[in-house]
Parts: sequence; C-alpha cells; structure tokens
Amino acid sequence: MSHKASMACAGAFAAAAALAGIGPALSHTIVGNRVFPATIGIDDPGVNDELGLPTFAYLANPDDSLEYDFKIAYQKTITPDLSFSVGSAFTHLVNTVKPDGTIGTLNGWQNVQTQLKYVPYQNAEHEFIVSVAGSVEWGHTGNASVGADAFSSFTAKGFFGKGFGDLEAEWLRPFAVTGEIDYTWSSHPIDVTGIDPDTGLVLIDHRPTVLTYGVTLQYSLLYMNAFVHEVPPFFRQLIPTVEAVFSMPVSNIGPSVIDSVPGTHEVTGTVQPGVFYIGRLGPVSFELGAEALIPINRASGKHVGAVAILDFFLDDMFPDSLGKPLFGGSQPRPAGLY
Amino acid sequence: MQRFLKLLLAAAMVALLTTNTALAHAFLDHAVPGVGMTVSGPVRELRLYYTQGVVMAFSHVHVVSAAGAQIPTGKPVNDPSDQQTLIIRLGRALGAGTYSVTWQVVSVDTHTTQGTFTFTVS
Repeated sequence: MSHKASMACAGAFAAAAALAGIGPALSHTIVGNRVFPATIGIDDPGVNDELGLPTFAYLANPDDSLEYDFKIAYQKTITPDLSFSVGSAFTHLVNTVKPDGTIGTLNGWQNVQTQLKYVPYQNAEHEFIVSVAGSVEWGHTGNASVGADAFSSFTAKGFFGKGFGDLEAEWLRPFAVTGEIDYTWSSHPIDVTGIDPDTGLVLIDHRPTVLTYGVTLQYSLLYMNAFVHEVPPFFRQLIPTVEAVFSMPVSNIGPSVIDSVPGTHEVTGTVQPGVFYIGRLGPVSFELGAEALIPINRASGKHVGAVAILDFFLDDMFPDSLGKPLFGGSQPRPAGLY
Repeated sequence: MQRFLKLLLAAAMVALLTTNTALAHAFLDHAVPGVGMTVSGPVRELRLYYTQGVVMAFSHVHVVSAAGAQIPTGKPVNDPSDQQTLIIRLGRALGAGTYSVTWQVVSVDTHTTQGTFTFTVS
C-alpha cells in the first residue's frame, strides 16, 4: 500500500475508531429505576423507538485533515425486545487529499448501516441488561471520496448494562456501567488494486477484521435525585459520563507498512468525558449530550475533538403510534417494577 | 461551519434553560420532604412530584419508621391543579427520626414505576 493511500486510510481508520460502535442504533434504555442514556462512543444496551438527529462529531485526523460528521439514525421496535435500525452520516472533510491529489474539501455520505438488536435478558431489580445485535454496512451506498467503502461489512455485537442502585452504600448507587464489543469483517477482505509500476508487484488492499470494544462509566444525577438525595433543578437532569472506545485489527491485517499511520497492527481509540441532559420542550422529549474526543495516540487523532448528540424519545412523544412496538405491548417488566 | 456550530450551541442552551425532566415513565422529580433531606418537624403530609401525570387510583405510598413501624397514611390524591403531583396525608405528625417512603405509581401512559427514598425529621 502506498504512503498516500496509507495516510488516507489513517483518517478513515481513526474516524472509525472514534465513531466505532455507534452503528445506526441510538437509544436510551430504562431498566427498573435506571435510565441508561443514549451514549455516543458505544450504543446503550437496550432497544427503543428513537430518532438520533443528529449525532455530530469533530475529528482532527492524523493526516492533518479536519472531519465533521453529521449522523442520522432511526430505531424502531418490532417487538418489545427486538428492534431494527437504519442510519448514515454526512461527512465534511477539510484540508484533505482529494482524488486529483490536491488538498481541499470533500463532502459526501457514508455508507448506509442497518441493524437488528435483541434483548434476551434483563433484570429490573438489579438494573441489569444484556443484548446482542447484527449489523451490515452496505457497500457502495455512500461516497468513496469521504471514505465510504465499496464493499459491505458485517458486525456481530454484544452489549451489557448494570446500574448499581442495589448497593448498600448510597454514594455508589447513582453509578452505572455499560459496555459493547463488536467483531467486524468485510465481504471483500482482500482486494487487488493494480500493479506497482516500479516493482511489478501486485498491489493488494487488506480490509482487516476488527475488534472494537468500549465501556462507559455513568454517574446519574437523575437517579440520585429520585432515589438517594435531592439534587437542584437542572442538575437533576444530568448524567455525567466517561466513555472509552478502542479498535484493534485482529486478522487479515497484511504486511506491516513502514511509517504508516496508524500502524498496521496498532490499537486506536478515544476517551470521551462528557455529560447527557434529559428533558422536554413542549411535546418534544429529548436527550442532549456532548463529549470531548481525546485520542489515545497519534494514530487516533491529532488533537482533541468533540461529539454531540440530539436524540428524540419517540416512545414518549408518540406512545400510541411511532413509539410502540409493531407487535406486542411495551417492553415487558417484572410486575410492580415498571 | 464554525458559525453554524455556534448557532447550534446557542440554540441548545436556550432549549436547556426552558426544559424540564421528561421520560416515558413517571419517575420522581422531587418530593416534600425532599429525597435524602433533613427537615424540621412536625411533618403531616408528603408531596411527591413526578415527571409525568400519575393515576391516583392505581398509586400506592407507604411510610415506615426507622424501627420498621408502618405509619398510617391516607390514600394518595392528585393535586387538583397538577396531575403530576401526589399528596399523601399522614395519620399522625411525624416526630424526629428517619423515615422510608416506598411509592408505586401508574403513569397516564399506563407504565408502572416504583421507588424508595428516605428523609429525616430533626
């Protein structure tokens, strides 16, 4: 792989690391007394009827380009424990290498992503939930100029969420953790791109199989206000959170490329401290969140970026139409708890 | 792009200043006496303020002293001017001590929620 192609891939790889795990599904989940907000680095562990419009990200890529992403995602419950999601993102790249080799600005859509997500188990008393999902990024549905792959990729996902409201120590009860792990592979893991005119060797692009994993640590002032200790207005609607998301190529990596950024075997990722706000404006029930994107290494980004989300809770806004499952009633809960 | 982002941030701040908590289910927004708070006695009634309207006919509230004694209470009733508020009149004025309140309500969109909190009368 040429150095230019490597640098171009670096930007896409770092962006993927920062947005890894988001997929098309953005939701908030309520398990017992615990509200798990729609987080940004990873998805929350439940299924819901929601519209993420938009999730915004600002990234300083290691190739010196600046990237602005506007992601749209819609999730619809089919049954109380099964949902379907669809989403994409519009990318605005500044100071990037254009197809003609000059430096300039590029705009375009990323590939469309779809996902099925299922919740096999949840325990309201212990504020615990697990879920699994399968997603497809459909190749050739986006603009290659902004890094959308021509080939499809598939991802198997696992999620968990645990609130600590069942602990004795009151100061620990507002805490919650969530996690996600993804295994992504391409429909075209190896692609022959041409012949090197200097060496006569066949040029091969490898699309690595990637393991992406992330975790969030949340301190819910929303929970503290209702169940532990009264919190002043405005603050009682906040959930401060720290997220960490990492990506690691695990197979089909190809030979090491000298001076490539990221390194062909390098782990990339971000740490994302921020806060989520849950509120209502008239009939509109929503969540607003913002986080800093702190790259863990140069390969993950040149300097700190930012992400923000605006998520609409359709189950609250339209409980009898858009906000309820296509089949069955609302999410089943243990009697008396929800 | 930067101007657009500044406008977006300004709009978000305006929205935040004019919103209140809202979820698809009736969670406790605040209470009187407050959650985890210490108040001066005597306390003769509880007021529970929820994030959504609640149906008083299907709502239950129990108050227990630190010694485990059940405090007699009247049936929860809605504030006539606010369906998101439940008023619980106590059978007797609460003296000094710590009390546990357990509530279970049905919201106007038929979801059931419950919770427990404590407060102290000094």
